[in-house]
Amino acid sequence: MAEMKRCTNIDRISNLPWDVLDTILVHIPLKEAVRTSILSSKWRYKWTGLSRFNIDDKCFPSYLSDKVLRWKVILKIIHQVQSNHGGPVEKFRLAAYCMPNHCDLDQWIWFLTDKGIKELILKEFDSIKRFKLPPEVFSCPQLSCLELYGCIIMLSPTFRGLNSLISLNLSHIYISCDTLESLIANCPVLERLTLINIDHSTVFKISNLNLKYLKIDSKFEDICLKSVPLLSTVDIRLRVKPRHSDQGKACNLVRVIGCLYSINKLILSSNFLEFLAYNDVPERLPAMLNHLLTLDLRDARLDSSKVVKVLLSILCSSPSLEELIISVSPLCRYTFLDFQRSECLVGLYFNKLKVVKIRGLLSTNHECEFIKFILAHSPVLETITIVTYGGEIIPNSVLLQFEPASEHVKVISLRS
Amino acid sequence: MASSSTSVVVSNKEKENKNTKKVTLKSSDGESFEVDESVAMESQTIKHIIEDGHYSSLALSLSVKTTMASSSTSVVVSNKEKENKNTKKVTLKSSDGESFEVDESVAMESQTIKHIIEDGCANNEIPLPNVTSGILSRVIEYCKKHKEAAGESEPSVTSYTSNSTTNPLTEWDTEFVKVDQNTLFDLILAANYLDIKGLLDLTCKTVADMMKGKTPQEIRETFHIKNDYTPEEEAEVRKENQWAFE
Repeated sequence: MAEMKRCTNIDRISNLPWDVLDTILVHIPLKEAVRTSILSSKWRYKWTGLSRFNIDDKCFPSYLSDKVLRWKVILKIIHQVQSNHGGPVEKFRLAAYCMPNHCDLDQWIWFLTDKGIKELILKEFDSIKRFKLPPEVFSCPQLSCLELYGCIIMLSPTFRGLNSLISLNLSHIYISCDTLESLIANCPVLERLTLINIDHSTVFKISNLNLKYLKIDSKFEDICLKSVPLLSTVDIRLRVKPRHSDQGKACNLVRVIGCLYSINKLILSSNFLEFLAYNDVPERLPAMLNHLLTLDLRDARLDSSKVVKVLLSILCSSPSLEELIISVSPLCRYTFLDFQRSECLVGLYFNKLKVVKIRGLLSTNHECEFIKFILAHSPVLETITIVTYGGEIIPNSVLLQFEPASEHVKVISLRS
Repeated sequence: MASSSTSVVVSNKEKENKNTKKVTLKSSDGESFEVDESVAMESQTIKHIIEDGHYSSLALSLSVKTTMASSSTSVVVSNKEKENKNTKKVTLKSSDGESFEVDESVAMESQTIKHIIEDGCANNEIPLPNVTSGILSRVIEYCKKHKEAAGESEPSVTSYTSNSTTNPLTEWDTEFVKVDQNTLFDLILAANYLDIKGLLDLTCKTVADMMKGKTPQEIRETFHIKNDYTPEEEAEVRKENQWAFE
């Protein structure tokens, strides 16, 4: 028993094999991991060998608000790691308010690419000038997750592709159309692509056989989604008014959205809806979107008959639709939901539609008719939520007149 | 617990006051288990019987093993054809000479053991000189539990507890690591040597939780770390990483 007692007082943690200790330390915040340097002389530089570094605002004392000084602290961390680090660095994440020195950042990224980085994440820091990203990043064989902010991306002529890249997130990036196209097309296992505020690319050409999720929130003049057979979710917001240029004769809706045969979820915002509306919108798409389950229109200018046509066209082409969400733009003074002109729509039943949410209605007659129509044509509808801006909510007396096809439907009418 | 070859009688009984349809599964030795129809339909065999409507008096010969997991309506229905297959076993031998016979599939939760078996070097007895019997038995317990939950080897194994909202394994895991520090570190080293990712992550996270939020002195006390810095050296280290100590 005395033997047992002795055994329980042994320091077993300090002598753990390094990869095991790393597995432990990556679960504690970086600040605490660095504090282990004080535990004993053995521990002094253990933290510098971590495989994952997450530098965020929690690393800094609350009184340190100067962004340049914050960078100095980060630099200290980086230098210590660079001098002592033995093994691979799997993940580096920088998500702190600071002002990076481009030279330092450049050198550090270079170091990381050398260390076989798998996840490199640079989130919004305070930087107005863009820094040039070392092209070595794009030859990291193990890179699986790349999130970049505020850089200029140029690919070297020897760029072969990123064979392990699964997720790519570019925000406030300066990249040319061709470079972007090449980058996307040469990532064979890419699943998620997010593009926010991309400069210098007027046309987004996206072609990738594995891509499943696409989010765009940027300025652009045109977009081309080609060869994206697995694309399941699309979320696009156009930040500027579309230019009415004659991009061939085809309707944008048909050209861009009409070919997404496997799409499950469509989120279309404001100006992008106007973009899609250009050149005669057909009553129905040439091919049905048989897998579309969710349609979410945000900031929709339903005061434009063209935009309404886009909505109706998609509705007529989505037999499996389960969820319909419409947020009317607050800029609308009236809405133009003249759906009765659409022959396709009038005879249509939404056999799978379960949830409808419409916000920003102005309780005009057209809208009431539209809601009535939806109710009458949706036999399995479970809930419909209507939020009216200003004015009157649709009074209960009117709602009671509606004859819903679904027995158990719950009608919620609110005023915002 | 019924024997390895039983016949099951399925009857349909609709309760008057509830809308949830129930079915009664009856084992060959006469014990009845009343379950929600939806629960019973986790078994494709039973599902087809119910759908076909041929269940009022049909007795089936299946190899069925039924166990009542707890006093609530939790039922484990497994369909394992024991007559036709021989579940392969391996013997693991601990450093102190004790032998443990386990299903090969359970043993293969350890990548190390998996490679040994696949390389054909097994001979059905695998010596593990780095793992004592006490630790090995715990490791085997972990592997068994997690293998059952994954339900990989059997085609239609389903297990469910009716009122549980949390993942049952999370609770089990939490209990599993409530051990003294020595045992915990032994488990870590065993998981590392045997290359069992789930166990390694679980035990390492447990140690991490023991470190989080503690001052350096508290950490030293918890893990019996001796501070061998001179006061000057300690001051130097504090200065070096000043930002972390503020």
